[in-house]
Amino acid sequence: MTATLFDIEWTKTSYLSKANRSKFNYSLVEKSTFTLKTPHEHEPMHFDPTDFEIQRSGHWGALTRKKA
Amino acid sequence: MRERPSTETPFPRPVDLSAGRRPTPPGCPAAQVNPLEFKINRIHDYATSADIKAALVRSGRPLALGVTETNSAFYFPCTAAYSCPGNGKPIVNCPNDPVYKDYSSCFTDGKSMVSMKGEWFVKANGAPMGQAGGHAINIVGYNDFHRDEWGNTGGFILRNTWKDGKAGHGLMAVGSHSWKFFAHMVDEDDEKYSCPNPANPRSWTECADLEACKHDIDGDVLEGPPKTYRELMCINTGQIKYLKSPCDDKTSYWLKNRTDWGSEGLFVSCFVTEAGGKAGDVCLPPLTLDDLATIFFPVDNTKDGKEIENDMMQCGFNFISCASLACLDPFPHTNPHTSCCAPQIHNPRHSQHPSGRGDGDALRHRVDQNLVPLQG
Repeated sequence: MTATLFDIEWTKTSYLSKANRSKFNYSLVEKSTFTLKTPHEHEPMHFDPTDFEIQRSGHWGALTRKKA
Repeated sequence: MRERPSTETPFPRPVDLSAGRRPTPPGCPAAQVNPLEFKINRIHDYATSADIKAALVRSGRPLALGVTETNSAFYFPCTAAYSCPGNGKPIVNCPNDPVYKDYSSCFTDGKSMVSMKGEWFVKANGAPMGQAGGHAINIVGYNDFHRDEWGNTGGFILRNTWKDGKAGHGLMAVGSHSWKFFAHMVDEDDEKYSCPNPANPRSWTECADLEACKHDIDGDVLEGPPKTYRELMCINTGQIKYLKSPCDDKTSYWLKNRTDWGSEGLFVSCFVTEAGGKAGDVCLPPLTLDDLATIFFPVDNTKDGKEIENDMMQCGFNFISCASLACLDPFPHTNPHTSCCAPQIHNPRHSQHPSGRGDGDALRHRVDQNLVPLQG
């Protein structure tokens, strides 16, 4: 099994404007050239233990932020 | 990967489209209306992991990979819980694993080689693998340190075209992750913001009893995930035909625990139940985690009134370990390290082309698929 890298060359027809190539479907190209999203990165968070309290409920205890 | 050297080859039949449209490849009508046209000037084939990594870094472009899809055989004890004997599955001797010691015979069932975690794997347990077709995917990166659920460390990050959900593409259920997850730039908790994978049993939270299960933990944990999946409903899709009535739609279920059953990738999953106001427990016979996705689904899969699903502009990435990739090598005789499982593979396309490359049409078809990465 091999992984393959293709050296391709776009033909001049690929550079024609949309108006000149009305019979073609650009939606697939537009869909495939969206910039992919990347996972959200959180801002650095500073931990201050006085901001939090343990809340208990039944079997559960969880560290939660104090309500302002 | 096999030892055969990587090659760099001028494409034997350049695709010159200036004289008109090429014939539509079978199964690819989109090519007829695709406004992008190109010539393939050169093909670089990389046969070793080191060469693939170097090519990724050097070119900054994805590499195409045609993968032989296989079904890996899982061994189940032949008992009434699986309607065995008589469920139509081949009866075989059980593996030597101690968990099978009380069973006189087993049956095998072929499961997809892609888990709902998005990890491609090949089980090197000596059982015959069935070929389930082929698929073209892109290698977009690598991580030498990612360890898959089968204990294989190091491999390639893939961009796939499959839409995630309860089922699709011939798979019983489909899941994936972001590339940052496989690159270890996002951990499992943060990944739930990006790719919640509601259908994936790995996303379901365990709880010990009915009181704990009904306690709403959403928002309990600081900056917690946007959704925590607790209550499950029976959706039994019937895809696991030998498992009769594993659940009923008048009962509520919560995952209580899941326990490894042997080393074959099976788990015993137990559930807290509530039916008619009465609490109870039920355990299913050993199954794969992905099997559970065909039986249960979260009751509330909405957030802010919207159905939660993976955003394929962010998810849709898979991982294949170097070890699993090597097991798919159609030329095991050239690499003694792949003899664990490769001999069972028969890939007619490759066997007709000892060079390891398919013919030109196959290659072009792969290019076409890569141009429309979100079309299955």
